[in-house]
Amino acid sequence: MRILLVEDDRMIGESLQKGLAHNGYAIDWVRDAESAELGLSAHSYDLMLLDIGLPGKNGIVLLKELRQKKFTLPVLMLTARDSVTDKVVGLDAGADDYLVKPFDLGELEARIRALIRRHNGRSEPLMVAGNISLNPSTREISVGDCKALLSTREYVLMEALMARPGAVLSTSQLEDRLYGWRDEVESNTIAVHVYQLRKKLGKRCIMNVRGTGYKIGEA
Amino acid sequence: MKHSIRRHLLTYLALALTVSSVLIGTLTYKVVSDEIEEWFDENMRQVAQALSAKWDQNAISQTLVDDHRTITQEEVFLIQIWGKGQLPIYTSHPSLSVSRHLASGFGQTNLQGSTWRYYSQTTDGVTVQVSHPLSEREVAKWEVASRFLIPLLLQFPLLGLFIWITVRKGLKPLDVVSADIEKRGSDAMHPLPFEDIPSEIRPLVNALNDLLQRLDEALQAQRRFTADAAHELRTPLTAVQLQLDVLKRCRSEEETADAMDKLSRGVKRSVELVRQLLTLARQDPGSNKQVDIQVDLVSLVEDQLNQCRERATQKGIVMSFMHAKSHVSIMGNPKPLGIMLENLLDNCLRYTPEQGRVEVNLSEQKGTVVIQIRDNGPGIPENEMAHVFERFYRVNGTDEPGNGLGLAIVKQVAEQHGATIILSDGLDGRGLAVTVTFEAVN
Repeated sequence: MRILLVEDDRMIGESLQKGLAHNGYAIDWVRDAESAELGLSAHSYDLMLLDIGLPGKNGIVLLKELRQKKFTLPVLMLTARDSVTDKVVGLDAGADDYLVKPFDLGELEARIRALIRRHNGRSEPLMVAGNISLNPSTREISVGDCKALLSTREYVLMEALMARPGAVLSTSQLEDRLYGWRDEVESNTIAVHVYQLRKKLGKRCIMNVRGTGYKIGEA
Repeated sequence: MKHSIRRHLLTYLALALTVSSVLIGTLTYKVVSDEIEEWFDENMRQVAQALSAKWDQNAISQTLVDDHRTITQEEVFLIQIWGKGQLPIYTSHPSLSVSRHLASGFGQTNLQGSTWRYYSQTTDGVTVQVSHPLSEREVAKWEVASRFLIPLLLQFPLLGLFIWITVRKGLKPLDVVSADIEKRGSDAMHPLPFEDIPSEIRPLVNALNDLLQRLDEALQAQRRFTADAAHELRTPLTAVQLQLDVLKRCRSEEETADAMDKLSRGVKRSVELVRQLLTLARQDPGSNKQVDIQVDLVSLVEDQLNQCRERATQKGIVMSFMHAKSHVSIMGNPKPLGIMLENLLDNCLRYTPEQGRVEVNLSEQKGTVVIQIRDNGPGIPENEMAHVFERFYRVNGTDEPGNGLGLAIVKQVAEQHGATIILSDGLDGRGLAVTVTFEAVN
């Protein structure tokens, strides 16, 4: 899961990046609207965390422009202003949700999960593909009767594959979900995680499409 | 007792009314009394003279009685006539007896415990004496005087009521104004109505409106400040909260140490913001007016330079202080002035890179004292210079932790001292120069 974080305050940005990385999110952090536009044009993100009070072009203006340019990614607005009008302005500009500063990291994560879920057209918290079901909040996976707890990276991998059952994701697409700009990517890391998952869940949970990538299996 | 215009007016008007009424009453009574006395005396004299004349014509006593009755009508005169003998030859009221007075004219005597007045006229050995009790006169006097005094007494309550209504009506605008103020909420700062206000309380209403406006401005500034402060506190607190959340999730000791360090920096930043907010609030106009004293800027600058000497040395920054005289004084408040210098020097040390320079210049020019602080740091882009004095404004792209309050504090202290601040380029054609110009001590 790759998230674009737009936040001008260094301390907040650093902490968010670190805190969310613990949960397997790949965070790209930029500090102004121009860099955010640049990032969005270079990568595809699953979600954007957007601070309203940015220097120069503020978050609301950026958001309006992005929506006009048909960027549909879910946007969670972070704001220090808690008046109703501020919230209304943000939501009307195209935000999907908002959090008023200061907020709890746990709450932010729950809202991120909810946004992603809704964005993928699901309303129930469990992701299901065939007889595989994944709980994003506990990272618990069950394949038939077999239950297992996934590591951060394993979860991200599984979540990416289960988001669109049947779609084939390339190694680099999966790496994109797994790592932010500054993370170093080990060369065979996706293969290693797939191996680990197959060991936990059975060989047929992830299928290898030769020369293309991976897709979720029928198990 | 509280001072009240209404009570004052009513008391004095009532007093004046009473005194004038008593005076008019007394005077009226006196005039009436004199008239009545004169009238009675004249009557007595005329009766005596008439009788005297008739006696000469040897008129009979019966006629006399009749005559006397027609003259005095219901008034009772005691008429006595003496001839040569000791006993009166005629008396109108045999039961009463006033002794004979031979000398012609008026006199008073006692009879049956009351005072009688008589007029006596003796012609050719015949004495005619007319007398009556003075109490009769009093009755007559009161009868006449009451015709004047009763209306006077009656006008008393009428006039009193009229005065009371007039005073009430006259003071009504004051009641209206005070009622308006009384029913206001503590934040209703709109001006008092100015129409239909009499010229006497116009200055008062004017002054009140003026005060209301100033209060309103101060209150709004305070509200803006509180709102800004509450809003700005969210940022460092958000950082602290997130840093704490990160700390809780740390797994390795190395991570924990790093998170702890970050958390402590976050807390430090919040504390610093609160400290600066307090400084600003304390400097707010009207919060505390301290009497200005003579402050020596040379020693004040030296104190502040000494305080940040260590920080400068750590960064390898060379600080210098130039002043033409050993003492340069201005009128002011040393504490805020110290805070101002502290903030300016703090900015220099924050933004000037290692091995940089900071120069402080103190000079006197044409009745002004100029203090200039220059550095060779990054300076401030020209298009942002106008904004840097605004509270919470931070120069775009600044990486230094800060709250955007330092220069706002500097500006506030300068304004408090009637000083002007100019920003310009600093040393080596870059950096920042802050020039603060004070008025010199006369």
